[in-house]
Amino acid sequence: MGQMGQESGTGDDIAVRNMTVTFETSHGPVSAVRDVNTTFRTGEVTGMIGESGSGKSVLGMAMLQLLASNARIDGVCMYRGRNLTALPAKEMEKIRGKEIGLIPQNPAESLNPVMRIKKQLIESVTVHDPKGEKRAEERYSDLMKRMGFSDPEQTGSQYSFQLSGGMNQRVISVLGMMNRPRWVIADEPTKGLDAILRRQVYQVLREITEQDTKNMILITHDVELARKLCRKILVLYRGEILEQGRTEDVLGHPKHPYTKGLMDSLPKNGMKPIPQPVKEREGAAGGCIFYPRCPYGTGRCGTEHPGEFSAGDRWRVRCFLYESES
Amino acid sequence: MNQSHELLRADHLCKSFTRGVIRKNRVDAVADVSFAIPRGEALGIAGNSGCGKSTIARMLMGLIPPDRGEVWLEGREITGITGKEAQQFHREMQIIFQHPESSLDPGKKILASVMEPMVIHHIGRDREERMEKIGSLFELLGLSEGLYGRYPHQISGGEAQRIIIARALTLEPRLLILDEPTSMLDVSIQAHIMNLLKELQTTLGLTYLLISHDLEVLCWFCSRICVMNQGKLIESGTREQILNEPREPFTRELVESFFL
Amino acid sequence: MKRKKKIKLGTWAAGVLLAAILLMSLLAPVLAPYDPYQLDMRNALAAPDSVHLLGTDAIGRDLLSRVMYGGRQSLLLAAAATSLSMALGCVIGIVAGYFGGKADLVITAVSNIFQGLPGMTMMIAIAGLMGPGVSSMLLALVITSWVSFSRLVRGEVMKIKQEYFVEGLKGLGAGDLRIMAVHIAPNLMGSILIIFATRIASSVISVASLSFLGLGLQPPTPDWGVMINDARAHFRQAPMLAIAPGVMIVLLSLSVNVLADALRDKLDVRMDSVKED
Repeated sequence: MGQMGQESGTGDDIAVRNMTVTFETSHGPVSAVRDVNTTFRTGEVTGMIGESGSGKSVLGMAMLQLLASNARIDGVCMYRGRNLTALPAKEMEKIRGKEIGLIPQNPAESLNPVMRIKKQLIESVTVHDPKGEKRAEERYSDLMKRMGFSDPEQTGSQYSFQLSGGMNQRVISVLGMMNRPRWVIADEPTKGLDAILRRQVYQVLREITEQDTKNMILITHDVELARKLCRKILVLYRGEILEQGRTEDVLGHPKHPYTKGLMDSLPKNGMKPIPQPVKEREGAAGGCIFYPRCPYGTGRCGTEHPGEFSAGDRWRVRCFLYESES
Repeated sequence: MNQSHELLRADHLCKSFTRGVIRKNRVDAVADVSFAIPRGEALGIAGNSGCGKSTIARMLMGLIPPDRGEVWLEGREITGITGKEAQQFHREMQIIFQHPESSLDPGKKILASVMEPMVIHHIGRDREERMEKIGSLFELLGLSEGLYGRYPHQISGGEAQRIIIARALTLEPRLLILDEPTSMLDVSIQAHIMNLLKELQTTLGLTYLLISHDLEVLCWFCSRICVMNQGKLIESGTREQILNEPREPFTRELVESFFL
Repeated sequence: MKRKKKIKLGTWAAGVLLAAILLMSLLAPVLAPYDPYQLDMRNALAAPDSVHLLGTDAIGRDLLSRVMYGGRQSLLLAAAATSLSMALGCVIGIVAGYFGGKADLVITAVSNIFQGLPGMTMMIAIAGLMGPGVSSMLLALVITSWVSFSRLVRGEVMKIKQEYFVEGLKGLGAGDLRIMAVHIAPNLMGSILIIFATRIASSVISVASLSFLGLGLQPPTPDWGVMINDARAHFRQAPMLAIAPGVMIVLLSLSVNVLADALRDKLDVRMDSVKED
């Protein structure tokens, strides 16, 4: 194990320690998240970036206990003195929405198709506070206007299928914000959107971080979005955090070979692909998970699992190349 | 543009759909769109979701008939042809769709799916010859032969899309229409596939029509780009023109959106 | 690494039971102690004893032998009727679902009419019109059950037709016939199988009911439905005459239904995959 370099969790920070998420499947257990250590600090947006199968959404949903029943969570997720992963379901319901709001992916699927928009949004408040209807109404029309709906009553009387994809995305963002949560987790907000809608969503999220809460966790595959919104970046690959640090460091001068490869494969950087896995290196257990594709891989990488090495202030890289620096 | 260099030409294509049951609502999905693709080049069509760019792809392929307008392939009109002739032109022009995982029959093994077009078009004398061809195409696309016996749900999106490209190439087409080929895939996989396609352009002398909402990918891949909005082709030019001196306000918005 | 899903005890029991019933019916000529048609008026309505294990009926035929033979006709009929309904329903459903438009409109309208017909009444009407017998029963069964196949198939085909791979095949130059036969039909197998199993169970009941009413199989055929009908007159004296075939009908339809349910559970849950992002 390398040096943990843990940042102290204070106040409303969310501190994740040694978190592993395992799914029981018919093919045996599969770990979707392995040994994650990080702290989501208040007052800043943290981005979790990674490609499919990186476990970024699983990690986010594990923090809210929103995983399927065949998932097992090990490790802790501390928030205001309580371990969220061990909280009873009833307690967790009080946290979700009220303390930590979620802006889920697939807006169309996350809204009830047979319930009018406004009713759903108001209900998200009254379920926590039965007497809060009036406050909810005010909050509703305020948020909807800020999200660019000029007539909240008219939009609210519609059903989700009557709205466009971009509108639904904005509605779902309002839903996540209705209870004035301290924290917001936005899960893949720009997935499948074209350029113009993507920009709208970006503006919505920026608006939230400027007006409502800076405490946000952004789960995304969209590197540009993360660069624009986040102060800190976690790079995930097949369930592990390979690099974490300040956005300008991680995305500006990436250190981990995977982060470098990811950046190079962006269209604006010339779309240079990450090498395909080398056959002889595959299947070796216990080594670095990126070893099969790593251009810098050495024999040691195949047998020994790298810990997280410090590469600077708040900057940690899971790669032996940076062992000496720490 | 020199006529003899043209591989594909679309002339004044129009298509409208009616929506709604009680109050019929006519929507012009494609309105008077014309363009031509020179042999060996890659033309890009940019536009937002719902701008009609996929409808154009389907009309070019003869999957839906245009209301008006014509499609010409190598100086022959192929609008509305059927039967044997249609079969022949299917061989020369192939399409790759957006959703790789669901573009393969879920109940068939990969090898059967890849071999099917050769069976339909009677290419290759026997199974051996077809296998040989598939083998060489799989190698070209960096696919392992170990995938032959798998089912579509057992492979990744990137593998599926390369398999679909290999399947299209078994027919030795001259033109590939790529309808958002990588928009559902991760960036590193997108980079891999777009690089492969670019290599094929020179090794196989392929001509491309790339349809995408991603201006950056279009600029990387195509020399000329057309911009579509609400069914109309509003602007076309070289990638430098589109990026640096867009004339239409919509194009400008599109370019600006890209860089957030 | 594959761990087989545990098959429930009930499913096992139902499977064994069904196999036993099928085996018994199939091997009745070998297993039955007596000829099921053999009269023995001196021994009429004999109580169960060591000679006639279940006793004899009103004209002295051995009940056990008749029970063993009693499933042959109804099972065969139910299987034939359900297979015919399936074939008819599949063709109609695929055509309606694949081509849509006017063809679909007409077919849907017709199926709605058939769906609305009360099954038993319809069967009685047909049997009454054509006279009781095997062919009228077959017709009645097919007419009342093809719709359940065609509706399901139509729905499934419409769903599969939307899949991108179908459009991809068209782009590759595959014809409609090829797409329907090679690609759509095999994808329907699972759901058709489930309907087939449930329909066969209800067909067995229908055959028995019609025969009981005197509109299906005719005496002296050894058939459970017919036997129950015959037993009515002597129910107080010899309740076994009605109970034995009745129990067989219940066991048969129960086992088929349990198996059909198990099949549904198995096929519906394709796989418990890991949810990735």
